[in-house]
Amino acid sequence: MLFNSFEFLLFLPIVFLLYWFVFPSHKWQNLFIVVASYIFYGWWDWRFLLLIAFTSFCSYESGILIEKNDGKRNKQKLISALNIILNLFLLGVFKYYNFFTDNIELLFLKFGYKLDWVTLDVILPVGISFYTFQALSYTIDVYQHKIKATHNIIEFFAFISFFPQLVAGPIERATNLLPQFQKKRVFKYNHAVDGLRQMLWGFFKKMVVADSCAGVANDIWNNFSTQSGFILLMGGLLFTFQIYCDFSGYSDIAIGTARLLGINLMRNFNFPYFSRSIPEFWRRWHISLMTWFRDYIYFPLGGSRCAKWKIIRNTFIVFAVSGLWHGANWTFVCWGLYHAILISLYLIIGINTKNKKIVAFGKWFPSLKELIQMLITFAFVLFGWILFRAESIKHAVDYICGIFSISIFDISGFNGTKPLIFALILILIEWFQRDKQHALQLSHNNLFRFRLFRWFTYYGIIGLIFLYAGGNQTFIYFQF
Amino acid sequence: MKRFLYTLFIFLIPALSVIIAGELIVRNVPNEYKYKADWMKNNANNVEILILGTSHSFYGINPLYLEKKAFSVACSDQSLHYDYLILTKYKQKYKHLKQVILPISYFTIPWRKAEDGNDWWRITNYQVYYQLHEHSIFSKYNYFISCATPFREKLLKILKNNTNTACDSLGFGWYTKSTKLLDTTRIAGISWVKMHTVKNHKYVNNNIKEIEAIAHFCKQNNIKLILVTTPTYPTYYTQLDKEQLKLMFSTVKTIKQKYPLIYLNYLKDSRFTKDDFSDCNHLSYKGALKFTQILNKDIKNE
Repeated sequence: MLFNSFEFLLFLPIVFLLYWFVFPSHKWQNLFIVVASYIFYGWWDWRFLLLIAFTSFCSYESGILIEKNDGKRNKQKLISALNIILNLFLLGVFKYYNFFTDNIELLFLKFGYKLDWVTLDVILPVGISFYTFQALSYTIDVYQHKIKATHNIIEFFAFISFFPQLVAGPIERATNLLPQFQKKRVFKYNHAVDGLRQMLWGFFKKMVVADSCAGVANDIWNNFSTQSGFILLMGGLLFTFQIYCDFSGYSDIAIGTARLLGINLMRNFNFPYFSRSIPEFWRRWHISLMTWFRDYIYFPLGGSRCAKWKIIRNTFIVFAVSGLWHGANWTFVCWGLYHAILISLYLIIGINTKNKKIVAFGKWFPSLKELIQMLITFAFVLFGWILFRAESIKHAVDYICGIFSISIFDISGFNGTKPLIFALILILIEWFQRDKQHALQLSHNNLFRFRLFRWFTYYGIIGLIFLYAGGNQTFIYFQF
Repeated sequence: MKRFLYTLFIFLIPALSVIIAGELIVRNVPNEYKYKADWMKNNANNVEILILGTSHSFYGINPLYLEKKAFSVACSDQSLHYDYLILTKYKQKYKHLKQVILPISYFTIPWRKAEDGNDWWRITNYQVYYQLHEHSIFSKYNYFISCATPFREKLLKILKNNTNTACDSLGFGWYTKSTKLLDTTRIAGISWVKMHTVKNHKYVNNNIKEIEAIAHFCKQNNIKLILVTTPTYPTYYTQLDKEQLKLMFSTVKTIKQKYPLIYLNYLKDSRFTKDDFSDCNHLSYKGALKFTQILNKDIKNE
């Protein structure tokens, strides 16, 4: 079930009302969450439910077994390792089987051997990368004594399958989300209202900005060999806004929806396009995934507390894995490695840990230096997205070469002005709200303290969504 | 909580009112589905030739130039399933129906079902106007508001006072007799072929069953079924995937062995020049006139 669908429009109010009015205790609410989440997820394909139930059950049992073997560290290690292997195996089969077999086949062909390989026509279950990582984090945290294993299977299933964040994150940690299912939820008016605002902003980002950009960007990408350099550059720019608005829009809707149910999910995006450096970008983009990699891969490898060459090695490993997580294609790996190279450069220069505060905090405009830093970072990110979007390495190379041709000065034939205007409006609003949790978090010390003005703003955004919502594009991150 | 629900309700009243009013207004906007459904309800007993299918027949076959009394219920992106449902909906009314023309295009056999495409919102037209109740009342397919883009376009049509039905009195698509020629170059061919080439064959069996169901209906009611592959421009047909093309021909051959029907293939017909096309796989008004006359003659000769 998509957030921007008629079904969700009916689903959410029913879930909200039943959750708060029919199920009095948090235990019944948890059970209801599981049922509602399975309906939400099964809407795509009921067969997906078997896999998520299996993954949930295995991780739940692993947690209990690890705790039962307290004191027997080797046994705990074995149980944890088996659970990790099982989950990664399932992820590998559904997501990477054909990728690996195709590449092995190519390798053998280079030596003149043809393999009679079986290519599986496997459906990729929606959200498998997200909930698998969420389940893994639980087992690892229990093993590391960061959290006690839960003995309540309903609570655990609710944690894994919680529908707002099930299919595209944020990838929650058991230390944050599980305790919330273990205690009574209290409805808070201000949280719920702010949750609705965040959802509204998410819908605006997805339906107006992302979908409008997607319409033009897809046309440019599908016919890239005949486009001028300028239009190819615009195609890259539009995709840059598309992926941000699509993904962060989904996260906003997910977080806002969870707040309606009294649950707080972690922040997933922190205005990443205002970053002054690539390391800062990665502290602000897909925060839940990057912190997952940091905590479960980077730190165990030594993190930053080792020799510089090892830090660089760890960075490359994390970003290569991150690239592969995004999809079964070498373009994603190259995209990850591209960012690893950039971060390594910052590391070598020694400026990778700078820029932790909000850019131009307390000021209306950035300084010239900050502006240049943001533009350079944005340009690096944009070229990275070209690698990400391309269907193959050759496609990416051809696309980039197409940009850097004499036709970069040929601005005729570009019909993406409207989506760029939407993107500019978005950037302006987010700039002035960059110190907030989301762009529609309103302060009550200005005009927004008046209800009429607030409602006028909400209706304005709803009107924009109605007038300018683009073609119904699916969420990009569903393919991960 | 009470305060939240009360405030939300007050906030939503104007929006809900606009939505409900909009939905009711949009349902009455003149359009080709409404026109064709009303026409069939009142005139199915008179029709002698019924044209089904997609935009290929909607813009490619002009009922006015067929020998017998013809009407086109074809519409853009109309699936075989809805072709069958429309054909059989009026079975009690057909008194003179002699021929059914169904286009079989390059994409017809593997094409996804209507619910799975980007144009799923068209299903609402069949639910509302043809009263083909394939989906429950709670389903999004019953409401035009469930897809913002076409809903908005219909409302804008009202605001611009545009009461065109987008088809002529016999259901033909070129109601304005437009002679405007669009891009027929190679580039347009690539885009169309890419869109029409389907690697996933999960819908093939269902689509074959739909064609067979239409053939069976025609056989039972002594109606001649004519399968037609409409003309296309070289920039389109030279780039078609050979396997998918083979699938189209082999499917028609298999069905022809089971049911009495005529198959006429004009895919690469050289009688049609650039002037006859509005794009690489759709005929212009002029091309449709030419094609209908050729089709008429060929049907008589069969």
